[in-house]
Amino acid sequence: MGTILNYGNGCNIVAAMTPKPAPSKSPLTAEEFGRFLRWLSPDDDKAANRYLEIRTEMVKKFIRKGSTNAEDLADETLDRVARKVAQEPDKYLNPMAYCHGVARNVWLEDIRKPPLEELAPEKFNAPQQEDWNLKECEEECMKERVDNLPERERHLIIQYFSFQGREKIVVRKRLAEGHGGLGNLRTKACRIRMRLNDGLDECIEQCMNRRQSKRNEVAAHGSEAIG
Amino acid sequence: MAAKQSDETAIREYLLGNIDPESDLAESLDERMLMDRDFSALADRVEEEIIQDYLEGELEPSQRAAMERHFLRPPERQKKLRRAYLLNRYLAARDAEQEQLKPAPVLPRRNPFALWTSYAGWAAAILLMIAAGYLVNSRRVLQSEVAQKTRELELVREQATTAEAKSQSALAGLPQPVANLNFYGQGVARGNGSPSTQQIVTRPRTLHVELLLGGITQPRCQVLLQSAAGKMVWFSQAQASPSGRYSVLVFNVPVDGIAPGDHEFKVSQCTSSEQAFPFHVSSP
Repeated sequence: MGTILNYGNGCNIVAAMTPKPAPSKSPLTAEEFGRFLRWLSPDDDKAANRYLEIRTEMVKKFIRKGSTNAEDLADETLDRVARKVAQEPDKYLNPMAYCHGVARNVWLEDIRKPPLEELAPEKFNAPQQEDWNLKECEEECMKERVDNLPERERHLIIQYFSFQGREKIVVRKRLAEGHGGLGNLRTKACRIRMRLNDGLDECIEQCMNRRQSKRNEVAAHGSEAIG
Repeated sequence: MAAKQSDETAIREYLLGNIDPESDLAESLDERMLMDRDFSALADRVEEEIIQDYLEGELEPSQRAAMERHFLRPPERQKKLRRAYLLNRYLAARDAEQEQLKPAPVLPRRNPFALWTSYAGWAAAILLMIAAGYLVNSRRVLQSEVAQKTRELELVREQATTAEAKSQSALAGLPQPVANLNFYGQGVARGNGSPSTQQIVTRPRTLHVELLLGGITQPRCQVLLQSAAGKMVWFSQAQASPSGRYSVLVFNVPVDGIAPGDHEFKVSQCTSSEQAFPFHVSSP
């Protein structure tokens, strides 16, 4: 196989910097946060769940808007909302609607910030080796999740994604006959994929933790043996 | 139905950053995605479809550019793309595995009773009885032949095992089939002629790539290998390390899945603008 190298210019892409949102005037106090939770619900458990639910939606909202620091922006939004609500709890009735308004301001402030300056090469860390543990855990979790699908769905998703080029077109047309057309088939495949992704992060994290604790055990055992 | 279609189109354009984010339309979509659970679920699905279309090279060039310029900015989306890519690869590999393990097709069973009810069946039975007599007579001869063949087979097996062990030890001494690909920056030709050429005699399993980058803004880079048709072939993240005034990005790419033709590595996230490194793979 011969490999010919040449060089050319690519299109521009916006650099993914991660500037933090402008810090709030003063940090949120425990008392303010407590009042905010009570405003969400008088029941502690319900309030905590509602808070997490709103935070998840806020993160999602900023990702959909293309922000590179969605988590920071969501936290800043909730801090501002909590501070306001602590002062005038009766003024705001719908938490999600109020968060939406504040989130818009936080986002506008964020996009108007100047980009960060280029980093000096000396500030870089040494290159890291690819994390094989992560790759193995990803594969292990994907296998587990695909195996746990009902047989009909497993068969569909494997068939749907296994072919290339003309073969792919033929196979998908054939599959579509049994699933109410190409549009429906596409939607079904998409939903199965989304279900496969649900909980994937948790599975990978648990797998990585298991491996890490195993490594720690081995290291502890080794140092004991040396000692 | 038409309303749903138009919602889908609007969400798609919004997610790709093709709608002015400060417009009333963007504001109303934003609000609906937050307040209406069904609409939010629809947006999740459209997002998944965009990723899938990107992986399959089915986005139009303008949409692909929008995806790389806007949609892939959040690290969460890059992670999603990577997972989707890995899942596709896993499903494709799993299918190939299942094909290999598929049992041989089973012939349809015939009803044995139907055979005996026909004259042909009786004739076959008589023939079988004659054949059985002949077989009994030939049995001793066959048994000795089988014993002879078994001894020969064992001898061949022993020879094959020895040969395999020899070839394994010979292969262990050879270098791994890795091809190297070095880029010295965009618009910089190596040597006098451009493009420079590198010959690889055997088909490699891994492509070891080294890229020299300028204008680095952060060490973590996103690397995308795309075919000329815009199909994503490989995707990963790599850490750039400083080398004088520049930075070097080193990574390995599995050759499986790289078809002959024009390709390019696209490096983003760590530089102020995306950098592209085109190359060509010819047939073996």
